[in-house]
Amino acid sequence: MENYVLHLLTMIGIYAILAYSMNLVTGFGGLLVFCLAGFYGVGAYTHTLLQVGGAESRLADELLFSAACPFPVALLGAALAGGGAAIAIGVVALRFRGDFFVFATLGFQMMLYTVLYNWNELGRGAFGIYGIPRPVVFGWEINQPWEYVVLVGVVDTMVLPFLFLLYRSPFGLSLKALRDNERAAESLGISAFRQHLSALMVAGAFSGIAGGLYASYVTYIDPTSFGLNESIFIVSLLLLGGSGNIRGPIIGTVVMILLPEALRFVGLPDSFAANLREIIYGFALILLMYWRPRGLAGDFSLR
Amino acid sequence: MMNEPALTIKNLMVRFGEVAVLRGVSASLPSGAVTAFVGPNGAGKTTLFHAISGDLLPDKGIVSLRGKPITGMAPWKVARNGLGKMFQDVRVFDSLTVIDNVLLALHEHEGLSVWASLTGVPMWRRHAPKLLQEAESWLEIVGVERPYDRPAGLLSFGNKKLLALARLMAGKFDVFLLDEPTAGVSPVLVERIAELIRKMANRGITIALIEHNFSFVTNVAEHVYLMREGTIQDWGATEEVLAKDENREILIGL
Repeated sequence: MENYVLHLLTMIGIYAILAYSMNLVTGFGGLLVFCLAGFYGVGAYTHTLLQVGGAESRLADELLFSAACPFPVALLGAALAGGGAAIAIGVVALRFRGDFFVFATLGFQMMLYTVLYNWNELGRGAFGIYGIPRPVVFGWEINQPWEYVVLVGVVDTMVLPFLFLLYRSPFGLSLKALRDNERAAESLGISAFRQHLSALMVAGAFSGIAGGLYASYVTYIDPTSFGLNESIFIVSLLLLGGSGNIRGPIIGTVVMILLPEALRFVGLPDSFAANLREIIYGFALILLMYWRPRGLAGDFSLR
Repeated sequence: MMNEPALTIKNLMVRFGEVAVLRGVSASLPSGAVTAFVGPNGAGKTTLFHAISGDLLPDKGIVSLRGKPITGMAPWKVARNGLGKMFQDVRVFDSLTVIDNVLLALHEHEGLSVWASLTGVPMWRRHAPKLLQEAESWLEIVGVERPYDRPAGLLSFGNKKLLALARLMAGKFDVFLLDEPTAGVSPVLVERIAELIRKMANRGITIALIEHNFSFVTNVAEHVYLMREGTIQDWGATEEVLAKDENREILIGL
């Protein structure tokens, strides 16, 4: 039971990074993005490939590329890869306006997933990669669930302040202005393309870090963790909690991770418990959207 | 028109499909003066402003700002070259506070990047009180209703217009395009806006405006361009142009 609570805390810590990254792009920038799980996956795979290689690795022959970097270097690599993917996708997707942009991100999400699923030499495709080494940070080997909570907590406290700072910075102000009225913001000399691309890049890089943390926590990854479902889940974290501020995303993350877990304990019959949980959970979201369109603690609604 | 023009437009043409909205418009804005564009609805005045500011790509013609061609430039680049614009439908940033609306215009453009925002934290923190003060003084000059820390979306329409004007004045532009600055505003505010426009012109800012209110035009503008069906019908000193019977006929339909 204790480990179970620690597991939930770790997951909340990882998803908090994703929710806050999404908040920069969606809550501040006003861009609904459905490919964050793609960046998360790019980070997870990059981190993994940078860790599973080495001379005595069984996977090294199977994979196009692998290395045996220390944990912090691999995590940095995950951030760079996530940010790079976001730039590459953003450059194309940001050519589209409004709803078309949303669809473009959806398309890229599906492309990233398909690549991960089918390119066996890159990441063993559907088989996934197992045996991801447990993190070693400056000689400290992380094995126990509580140690993961500490690790994720430390990474969160190093990473999230950057996002909070950006929310309050001149950059954040320009994003909010673009969200309110893009043409008016451009008439003040603010480039929508540059600011939006920058926001995507930051969100991609931080999602990449979240991906690296996730990979080293579960020690086995496959593409199904980074599909469209996951992207929708991240969007719903934010919409449920509320966007455009600091409290919304964390409330959304805690509720969205604990709600399905709470439903585990209400004593549903085993035969359909899983399905029923999904239905209750979907229904709760719809009710919430109806009563609180800005989320539980949001400043800004997409409509 | 002795001054060297701040902005010149040569043979500007804009078509929307079959319809030619601008059929070769040429005009120039004398530096530090107020020039009004008048004419019946559908004459192409707003389209002309859009084509100048980059919000619309002209099919033909040249726009140059102090000799530098800006035709077809993205709107934000045109703005960085010193051309500020007030939209017909105002467009303040509704969810930003009143003061943030002005602060945004005060920030250096380079300071708005992610990199500058992260590396320049002590700087933007330190400058914040100074910028706040400056923003507040612009709001006071223009006369936007207090308090300044509420969302701009809550302001009345007249106050939104004033805020848009304050934002423009804070933005360090030297050419203003004002699309109907007095439309939908009470007579008291019209007088204040006229005063502000004269004040700006005295500071050397070149102003072009679109107006339907003729007493306002005679009040603030030295020069007038009369537009009709996408062409310049007449132009010159305000009194002369507005005094001609044939021009009054176009404008008022007498």
